[in-house]
Amino acid sequence: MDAAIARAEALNPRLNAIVFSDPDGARAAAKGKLPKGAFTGVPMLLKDMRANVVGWPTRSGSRYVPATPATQESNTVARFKGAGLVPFGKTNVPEFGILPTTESKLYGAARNPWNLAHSTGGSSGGSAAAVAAGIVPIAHATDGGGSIRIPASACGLVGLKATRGRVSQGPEAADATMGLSMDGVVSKSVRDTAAALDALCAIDYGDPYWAPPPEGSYLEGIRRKPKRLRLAVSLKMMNGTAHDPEVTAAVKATAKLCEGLGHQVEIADPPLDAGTLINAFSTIWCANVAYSLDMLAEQTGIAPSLAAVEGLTLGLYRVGKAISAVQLTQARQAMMRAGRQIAAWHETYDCWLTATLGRPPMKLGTIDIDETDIQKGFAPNFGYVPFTSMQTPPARRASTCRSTGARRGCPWASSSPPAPAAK
Amino acid sequence: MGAALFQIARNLELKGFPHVLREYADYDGLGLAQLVRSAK
Repeated sequence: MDAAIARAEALNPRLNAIVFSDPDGARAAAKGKLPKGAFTGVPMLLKDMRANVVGWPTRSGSRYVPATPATQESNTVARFKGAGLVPFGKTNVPEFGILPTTESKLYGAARNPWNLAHSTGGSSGGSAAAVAAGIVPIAHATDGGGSIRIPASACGLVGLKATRGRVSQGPEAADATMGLSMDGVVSKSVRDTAAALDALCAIDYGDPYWAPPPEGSYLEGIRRKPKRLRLAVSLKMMNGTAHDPEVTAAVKATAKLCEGLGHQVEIADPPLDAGTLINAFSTIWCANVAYSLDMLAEQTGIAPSLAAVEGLTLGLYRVGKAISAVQLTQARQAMMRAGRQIAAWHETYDCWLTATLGRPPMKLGTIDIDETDIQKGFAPNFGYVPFTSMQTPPARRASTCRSTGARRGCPWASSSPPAPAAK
Repeated sequence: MGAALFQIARNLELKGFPHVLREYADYDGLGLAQLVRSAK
């Protein structure tokens, strides 16, 4: 713990990865009796979203959220602690986790340890920067439209968005962002991510639904040789636009690696209507931003405005407030139909191999968080995060990614294997 | 979601990123936990 805190103190002034720390509390916890688990005694960090620790504030990267100490511990935190991990702080996020970069008015920008002028990705960018810089080996993260997978790619880490209902968000949340958002980790190795999911995946019977229990330990599972799988690889975006050549080369190299491991690889795309899916995703996203801000308005007595939130957040809020119940229901039905389409497609293909980012990590300042016109504000996202929100609809799916560590830390892939035969 | 994803990801890691794994051998979370156990 002392080494992790010392490294944080040395590096954080440059990275701005950690936004709250409790070194004394963490040292005391580390010296006390810790549960025996896979990670006993290992320091970790928690994202400044959900993951509440009693006595610590969670502000979701927003000036609008009061720095009120939490009075209740999140299930995720209890399970991390149950595995022996010792949290010592919270990590940087963009406001309400809405961006694929980690820049906010409250905290400022988190910086990518591979190149300080570039983004860590988002929204779990502070966690990814802290792991990539060697402050901690593993950190909590959450993912709605790519917020684990994007920073994992940008910082050269392993990121997994687990199956819906696999990890409880209780007691304060459930079905976050109408089922789009999950909790998990960013880590340095596949085995760490597997062990973390083993620790996180206990059922909480207060949750509205949960995934069927896993067939065994994920950590044990990775030691077995997989059978020959049939993999689909997408070399372009869903609208046919090419990725940055460096990204395409990385995806091709990964596909070749998979072939070398004995898997059958074919170029194929799932039969999805990308436009419909993006519209549905955006509708649900905006409606949930509007819900969150209205709840905060009730709590604080302050109406959402540019004095309280960033321009892009306010833009999403305004769009969300104009969405009708029928439109929201249509969006949810569209997502569910897409889930069924993907599930049927996965009867043929065990995994879907894609780029995570369509371009190498963006420079800081690329997205103007003061812009209230969301079409303009989110324009840099087009082609940058081409798949992560598309891989969200199916209820039973997961994605992982790993950077090549190539120039500027370019990503290679994410994959989605819900076909029953692949389990 | 089952073990297949982890198996393929781990195999890719072993095959495609051995240099990364060598560097991380003692410094991923499970490696650090082993060091903590050994130190006690």
